[in-house]
Amino acid sequence: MQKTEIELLQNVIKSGEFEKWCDEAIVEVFDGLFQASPKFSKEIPNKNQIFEISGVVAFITDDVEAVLQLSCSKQTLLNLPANLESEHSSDDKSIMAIGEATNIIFGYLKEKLNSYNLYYEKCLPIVIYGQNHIVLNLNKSVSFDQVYKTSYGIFNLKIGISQKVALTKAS
Amino acid sequence: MNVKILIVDDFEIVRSNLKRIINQLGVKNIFEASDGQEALDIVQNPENQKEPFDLIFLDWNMPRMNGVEFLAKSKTVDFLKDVPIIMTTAERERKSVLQALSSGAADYIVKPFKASVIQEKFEKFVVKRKSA
Repeated sequence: MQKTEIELLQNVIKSGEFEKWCDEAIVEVFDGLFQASPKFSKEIPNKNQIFEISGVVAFITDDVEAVLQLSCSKQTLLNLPANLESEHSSDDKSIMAIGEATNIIFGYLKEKLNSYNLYYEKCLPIVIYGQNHIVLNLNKSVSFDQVYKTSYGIFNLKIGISQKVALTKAS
Repeated sequence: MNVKILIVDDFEIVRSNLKRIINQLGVKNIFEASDGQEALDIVQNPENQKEPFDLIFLDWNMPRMNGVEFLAKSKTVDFLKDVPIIMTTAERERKSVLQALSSGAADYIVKPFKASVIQEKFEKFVVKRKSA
């Protein structure tokens, strides 16, 4: 039986190759955007870990709704060399960097997914700031959850995918 | 060399990264805008019409006015017609490159920026044109 699009995407995400792409994307973001080249170790996500800030990019097709979320603490972002060196950076502007980091990671993954004939349209990245926030449609459908521990702090990369629900017009 | 460059991006960290790289190339006259509308306001300033920009780095996805909309507007403005505009984006697909070029961009750079790539584009679009 032919696999549905969501099954195809889930299979790719579960593959070791996808994890490798995420690692490469994280390295690119640290090198190019944050001006930092930390060694990172991967850890098992801890449910009690609190991330105050998230960059979120939603991506869709006709059948799939998916969300990519990169989270960390405010202090982690403020520790990054790119933010420390910025001549007119306020805390708020430093926090916004997580949005662009998420955008770049998605751009990297999007190109790789194309090689599996998986094509997505994405929305503009948004930044969520607040203790213990959750992205509901991601939280109920997490397909990828990886913690990257760096010398600047801890980052959590998550992907949630779900079947798009067709809207029906009420009579 | 008297060079004037405009960086358009909604994220400050991107603008400051690019500004740092361009500074290292010896350019000090760098303007910044956080969206296409602000960029349009800057380029339409009488001072900047008299002495136009040598190069514009333009983000694709921005609120208010995105990069493609800015490119479309720039084609209708006389003093912008000869200014090379380089699209900058996180999109890496061939489809996106072709769309940027067909919209009127002179070139295309994928984020995050590498200093060697920025230097190559700077030499191609600024140094060679100035010395021609």
